[in-house]
Amino acid sequence: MNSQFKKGVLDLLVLTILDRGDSYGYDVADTLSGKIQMSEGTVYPILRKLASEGQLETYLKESQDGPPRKYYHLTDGGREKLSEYRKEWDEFSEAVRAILEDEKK
Amino acid sequence: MTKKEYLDRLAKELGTLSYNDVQDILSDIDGHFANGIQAGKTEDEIASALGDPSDLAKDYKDGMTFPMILKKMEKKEQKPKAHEPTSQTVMFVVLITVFIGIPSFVTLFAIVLGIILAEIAAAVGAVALLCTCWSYGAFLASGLLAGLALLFFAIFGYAVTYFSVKYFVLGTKWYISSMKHVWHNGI
Repeated sequence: MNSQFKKGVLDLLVLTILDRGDSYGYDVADTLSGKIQMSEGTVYPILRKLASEGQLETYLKESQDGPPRKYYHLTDGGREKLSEYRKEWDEFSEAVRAILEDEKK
Repeated sequence: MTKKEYLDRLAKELGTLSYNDVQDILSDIDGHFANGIQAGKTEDEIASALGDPSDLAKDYKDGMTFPMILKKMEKKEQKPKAHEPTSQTVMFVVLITVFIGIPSFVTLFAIVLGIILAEIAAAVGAVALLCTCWSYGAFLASGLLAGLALLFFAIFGYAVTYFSVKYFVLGTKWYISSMKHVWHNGI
């Protein structure tokens, strides 16, 4: 898949995953790369950007056997952005689907 | 690729970001390796799943560009507000310039001018002696020697002149820019 195309959607996916519960970088990367063909590294710049924009907060949490992990938490601002992106995505994908199915006929 | 190789390459590619940003990013990716190893993967597997370090660095930089530009613009906009020099800084700049700046400038200018004149005199003297020594007859050897000595002096003098003019200009520029800095930002 076109990587520019994927990048645009990744913000939405990262925010969605974190809306379901706080998580750490490796886990988010693992979840996404399990379903979408992408470099796992890609999620880290996105997490960093979202955090610098105030859509995410970070905190450290001990892990069982290893160094503490940096967890990401969706802020209220992030939740607002998420619903905005979600709405845009739904409209966009609906329009794309409609056009693609028209072409078939 | 090992973890160390990956982080080294990433650090190199991130070159233009600030030290704190680079340390932060490296610690995130270091944490990713730690988690991968806990999950039973090798460093090489983790590194190849992360993707090319230069691609990752590019993603980081792309994400940073916009906020960084905004921050720079904010700084530029804030600067003019702090511009009005206080009477204390005015006095400082005026006193330093009158008692140290101008006397040093005049003295150093005189020295540099002296060096330049000495250099010209040595060069002219050397050429004159060397061109005319054939007519000295019995004093040919001593005339030639004196001419050569002056020539070497002129060559050596050229280096001295070059550096003295260069550092005189640099020093003057530095003085003006530091006084400007004090004028605009206080002591």
